Amino acid sequence: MRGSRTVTAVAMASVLAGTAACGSDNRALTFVSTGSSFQDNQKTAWQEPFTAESGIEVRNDGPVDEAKLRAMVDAGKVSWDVVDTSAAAAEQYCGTYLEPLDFSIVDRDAYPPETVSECGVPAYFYSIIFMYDTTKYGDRPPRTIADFFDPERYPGRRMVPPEIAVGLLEDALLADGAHPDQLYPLDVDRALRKVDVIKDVTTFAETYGQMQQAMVDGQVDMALVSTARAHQALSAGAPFEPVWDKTIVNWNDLVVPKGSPNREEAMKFIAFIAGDEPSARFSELASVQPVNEQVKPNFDEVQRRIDAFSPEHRHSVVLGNARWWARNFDAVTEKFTAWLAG
Amino acid sequence: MSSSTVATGTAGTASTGRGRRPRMVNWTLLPAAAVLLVFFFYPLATIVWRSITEPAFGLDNYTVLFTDGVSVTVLLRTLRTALIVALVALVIAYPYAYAMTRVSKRGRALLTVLVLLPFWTSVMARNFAWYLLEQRGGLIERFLAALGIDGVVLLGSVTGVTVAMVQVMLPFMVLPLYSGMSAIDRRLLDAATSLGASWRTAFAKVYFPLSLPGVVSGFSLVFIVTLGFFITPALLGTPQQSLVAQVIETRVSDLLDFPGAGAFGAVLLVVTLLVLFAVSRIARPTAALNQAVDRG
Repeated sequence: MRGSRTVTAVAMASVLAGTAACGSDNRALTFVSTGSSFQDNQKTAWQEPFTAESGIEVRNDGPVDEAKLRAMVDAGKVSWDVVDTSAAAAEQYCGTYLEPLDFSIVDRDAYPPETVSECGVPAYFYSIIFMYDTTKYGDRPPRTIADFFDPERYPGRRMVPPEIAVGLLEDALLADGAHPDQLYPLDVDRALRKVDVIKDVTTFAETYGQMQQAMVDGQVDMALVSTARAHQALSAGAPFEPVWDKTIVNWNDLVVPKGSPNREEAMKFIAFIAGDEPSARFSELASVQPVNEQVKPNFDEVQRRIDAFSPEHRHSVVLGNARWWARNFDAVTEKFTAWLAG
Repeated sequence: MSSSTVATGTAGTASTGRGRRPRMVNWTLLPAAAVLLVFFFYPLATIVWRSITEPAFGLDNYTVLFTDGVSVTVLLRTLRTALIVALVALVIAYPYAYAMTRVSKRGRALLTVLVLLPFWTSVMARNFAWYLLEQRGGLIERFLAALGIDGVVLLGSVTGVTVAMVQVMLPFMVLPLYSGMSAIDRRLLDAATSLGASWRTAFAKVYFPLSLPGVVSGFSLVFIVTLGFFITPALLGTPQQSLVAQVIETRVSDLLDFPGAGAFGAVLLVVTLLVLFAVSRIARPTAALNQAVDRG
């Protein structure tokens, strides 16, 4: 997921490790994702079976950092081959920092048609679900997304994701009465006016890991949190429950940096990930949704509780619009940063 | 006055001996200068250059900074935070450093270790420790609650960030102060009291001015390091109270706006240099500083 920040030291260490590992064997791909257990799951579900099938080794690097990607492309020294990033970034940097995909290798039909773009195909869907602490609200728990933005009736500390493009503004507009089908183009000013109401009682997370930790430690009473982190928090015993009013769903894309040294192998790897087995396996490990809805992952009990795509929760799903975000990400980020820091 | 004349005299003597020494000095400076040139000045120049040439040649990136309504706020907030941190650290560290010069050898060793121990601990570890102390249900909240002050959560507040920053920066204040104070000849104090000054007057008129070089170096060190602080405000603060480093980080990693970030960095650098210049001006009239500068 976009812009997730880990300690620079870790990044530096992995860069060094990456450089050290750079040997003569160029039939090895470098895969870049968010790090942590999420990337370990990608290793188990995607990389190991891929290597077993094709003989192509996959190395790991991280975290995803568009600034680093840009610096590598500008300097002509690209060491990344496949990057797991937001669909908006895949559109935004297509052609400038990213290679167009080779659709003779990557099968277009393996994905829902509206999710395929020139430089990226989706890897998985992830939902931003509205969760609340069951010990805080007793028999009068929040029921709608509007309750998240109502600190009068529902006092308490809130937490929202570290990225702006994953649902906070969408949720604010929905809470303000906007129709799910007419969210885009986002009325950013209206959304920010709504978020303003909870600004003082809201922690704007720095990382997704921080969200998970805050839920486990009881630092927050409500959160708009990604399924993967919600699953980890619930498994660790955090007393949270989801509210199935509105759930913003986005997807991450797999992209190939411009000038990747292993372009061909990268395409093969991306094509492999779309397969039923790797998709299902990763969804089960990481608590995300396969992009191909024909694939039915075998979720555990906790995962079923937070699965926005199950028949009983499906009504809440509102799809994010990566195309709109790609065109407006910079302008919105500037406005949002100014609003936040001002 | 007379001591300043002495100081200039010393400098004069030093400069007459310049015939032989400088060449050797130049050679010894070479490796450090080369490292600085390659790893500091060159990248710095690149950043500044990009900030005035991208996307078009001109000062657009700088105009935006002063007109976007947020950068100036953030800059002022950062300066204010750094000033508060440096002042609080000074107030805490001054008596501590003074005590270090007054205790026995073993006592001094103990006090030094107490300062250095956190200094040797990773900044990340210390920040996480503060995170735990300051969080909801953390030690600080429970302690204050026991005293009857309810609901104090420092995490995510400016106060919380400031407290942690002071602790992180304290060694940078104590050590220069101590080195400055330990060089002070205590016989001057005895002389002052023997001439009829009260202890307080002797301290204010003799000891304190002589300790100023240490104060200035400690204060400027803490102030400048605090200006660029990233981890502590990012971890313990909130984006609502962003400091410069956080805003630059957003520009670089979310917007890929390298020139804009470079411009902000350059402005921060200029402001820092201005502050340093101002500090050195304020401290200048003291003979002690002149002496220290001449010696250095």
